[in-house]
Amino acid sequence: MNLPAKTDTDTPPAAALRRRWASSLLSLLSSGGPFAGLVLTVLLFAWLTRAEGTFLTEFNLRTIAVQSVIVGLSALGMTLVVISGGIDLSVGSQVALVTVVTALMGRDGGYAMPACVFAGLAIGTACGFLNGLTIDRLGLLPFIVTLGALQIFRGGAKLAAKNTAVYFPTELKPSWLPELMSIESGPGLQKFALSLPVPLNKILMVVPPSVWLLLMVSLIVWILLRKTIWGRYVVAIGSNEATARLCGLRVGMIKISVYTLCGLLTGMAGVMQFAEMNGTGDPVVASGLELEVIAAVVIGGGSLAGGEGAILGTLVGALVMRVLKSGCVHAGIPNASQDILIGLIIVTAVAVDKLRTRLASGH
Amino acid sequence: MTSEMQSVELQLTLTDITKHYGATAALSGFDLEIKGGECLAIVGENGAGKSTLLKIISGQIRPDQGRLQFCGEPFRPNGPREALRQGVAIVHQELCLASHLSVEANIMLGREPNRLGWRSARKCRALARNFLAQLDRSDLPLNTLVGELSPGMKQIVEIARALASDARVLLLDEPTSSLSQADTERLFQAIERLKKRGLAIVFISHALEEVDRVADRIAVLRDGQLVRVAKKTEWDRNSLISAMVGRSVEDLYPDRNRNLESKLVDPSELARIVFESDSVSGRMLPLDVSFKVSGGRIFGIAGLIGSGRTELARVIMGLDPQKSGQLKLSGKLISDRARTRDRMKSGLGLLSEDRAGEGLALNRTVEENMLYPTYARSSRFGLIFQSKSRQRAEGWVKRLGIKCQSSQQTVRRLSGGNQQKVALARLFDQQGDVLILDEPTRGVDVGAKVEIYRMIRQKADEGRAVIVISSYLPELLGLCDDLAVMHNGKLSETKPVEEWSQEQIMRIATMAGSASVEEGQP
Repeated sequence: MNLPAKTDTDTPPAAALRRRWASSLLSLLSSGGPFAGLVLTVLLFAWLTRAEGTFLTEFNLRTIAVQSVIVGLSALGMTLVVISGGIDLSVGSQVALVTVVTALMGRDGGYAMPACVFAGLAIGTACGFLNGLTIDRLGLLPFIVTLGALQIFRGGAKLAAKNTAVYFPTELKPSWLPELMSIESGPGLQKFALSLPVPLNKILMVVPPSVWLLLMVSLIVWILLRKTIWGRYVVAIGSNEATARLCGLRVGMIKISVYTLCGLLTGMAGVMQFAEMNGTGDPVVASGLELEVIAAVVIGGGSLAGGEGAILGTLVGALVMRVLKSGCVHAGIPNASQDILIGLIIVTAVAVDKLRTRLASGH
Repeated sequence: MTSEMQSVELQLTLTDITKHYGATAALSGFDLEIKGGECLAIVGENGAGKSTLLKIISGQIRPDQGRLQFCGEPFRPNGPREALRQGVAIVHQELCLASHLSVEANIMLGREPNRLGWRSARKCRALARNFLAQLDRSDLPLNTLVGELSPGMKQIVEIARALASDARVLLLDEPTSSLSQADTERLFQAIERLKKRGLAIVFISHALEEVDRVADRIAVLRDGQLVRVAKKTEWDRNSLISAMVGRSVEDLYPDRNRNLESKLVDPSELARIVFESDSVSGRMLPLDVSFKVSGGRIFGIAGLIGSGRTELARVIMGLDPQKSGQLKLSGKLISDRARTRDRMKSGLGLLSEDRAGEGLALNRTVEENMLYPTYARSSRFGLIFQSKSRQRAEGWVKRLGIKCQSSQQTVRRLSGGNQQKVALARLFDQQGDVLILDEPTRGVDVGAKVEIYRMIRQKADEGRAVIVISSYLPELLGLCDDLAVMHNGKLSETKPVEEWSQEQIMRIATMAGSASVEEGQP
């Protein structure tokens, strides 16, 4: 995001050159870093799987993209939370709770799909709101509050589902539900595409529908963050909360709104999870998702110290995580080594983050 | 090792010490002798170089020039640890104790007698008790957690810890700033005992009365130079104060009467704005503060750091709770529960004294820092008009002469003076009727200072009420129309600046001759 510093004309050439190097390295790390990481990972696995030839296929790339939607949606919310200087450890449990509530609305309430989806989104939003309210009113650390919430929401999901999977009644399932998270375009989408004029229908088929959803939501969140006063204030609070108070910002309200929005976005992730499981509410699904989501944010340039984070970076971070997993499977890397590799990537990303802040502060 | 050293006369000599920070000299050509068995007091205004001197003696920083000798040997400690090992200990204003450990554990920390890593509890307790006895404080319970002690007790624990490390030179940096009267008295008794044992005590304080009581010699610092060091008997109160402040007010300050002469403002307009504080108190500080500022005038608040000046500003802005009293702006009462945001809307604005910690979000851009409170003015439905915001910020950059590459540069990269101007731009941009400026020229070079004074005067000339808080007396005397002095949370009467003398101000600020203020302290 930082513009590279212009060099003064009166500095000696060597120093100017060194400064130019430092600033270009800086801008590479802050904007190009996640992209370079993504390209490197893709190339690495393409090379590792060159014998099989199953990794760099259109089908597999579409699969990876679809798989990154759930992490991506939740990571958008997490990006806002991290920029505001907080963290939300409860997103995995929120996803599980949302799938259970959505399924229960259909099975026990007999409501139509849209009403169930609305209920799922509402419960996600409520979870986020509760997190924000507790953090603001009790003045507790976000880490502690959401660590508690991680347990509470998971327990709530199990309680509501009576510890077993909840199946959405087949007769209430609309035909578009499985298409929501499908990798190839389903009949419904194809029919819709035919009704569109020529260039649009081709464009529509390029990526799966869930990816379109992710991209659209990303655009909205990006506008909120970069083009509105609210977004400026979120960054201000993460950058220096004392300054925000001095400037008369409603710090508490803004924090609550950030967690609430994170809850809504995680609710969307939950609905997508529900669709992916073909209409099943599973109280034990998405455990550990929060770590993958936080990793995506951090790989994308978010700083857990607050004040920094990027929407595009986060999307790339979510893709990196998915490419890693898919690549490991295609390259036949055993599960244990996969975990180690992913752990190493996360630590490396944070190390790069630290190096970047050190360079940025000029030490 | 110690017995051999003590046969040599205990003496720490500083010769020709110079230390620069950038272009400004914090200390220059400084000579001083510190002797065993006496207490040397060092006094001077804020920024005179006292803390730089302490840092050099305690090894925290290296002088650019000059020599230190300790008992005849060159003394060049590589940090406070090494200084301590050689016998020079510092007790900081902010105490460095582990509040979750006991008194005994803190005194013996890092020096526990042990066998194979197992500390011998019996020996530890005996030693700790012995050190406390040396300070005549055997009454301190060894098992109490340090976090539960009063500030005075903590001070004693810290000194006992210095004794445990075999210190022979003890540097006390404003040790009484957080102590009650009784604790101060006991500290002085402890200092007497340590002197008798041959230790050298260096005592830094603002309170001249205390210096009078405890010091054998007094050194006065001003602008990084030693004005004079002499036996206590050779000083009197007046000679001390004039040695501390002895400076003429240069031609730095804008003309007070310009607005009246040029009839810049309509007098009825000036009378419109009146800001009144009626016995306002905060949680601890300030206490019962009353004053009145009208439009077109600059009201100065003098006083030492920690006297409650900043706390007063924070209470007025609603950043700290207002516990009692009333604030009125142009006859309208400001609710004591009004939040910062509402107070800003009714016309109050504050420039924070803590630029890096609170005043600015250093990692954000010039534009953002200027417009945070007023983004709404260049937006619709919450969406920011980028070019309009940028224009507004660039306008301020031009008007205040801020040196930066663009309004999109991060504030961290600017110099102190330019950072301060960004903070000022934010305050001016709010267009409030009452401006409170807390240390407006801290960490700013002289050139920028003159500009900032001019801007402050201009705001008053526009008819606003301005309150300036500063530790730098000449600045207040040069800039302000009216002045009051703060001490222990209480504000003195307000008088026009011409009726104050520097000596009078220092006397109230250091509490000499105003014993009545002391009552009412918790």
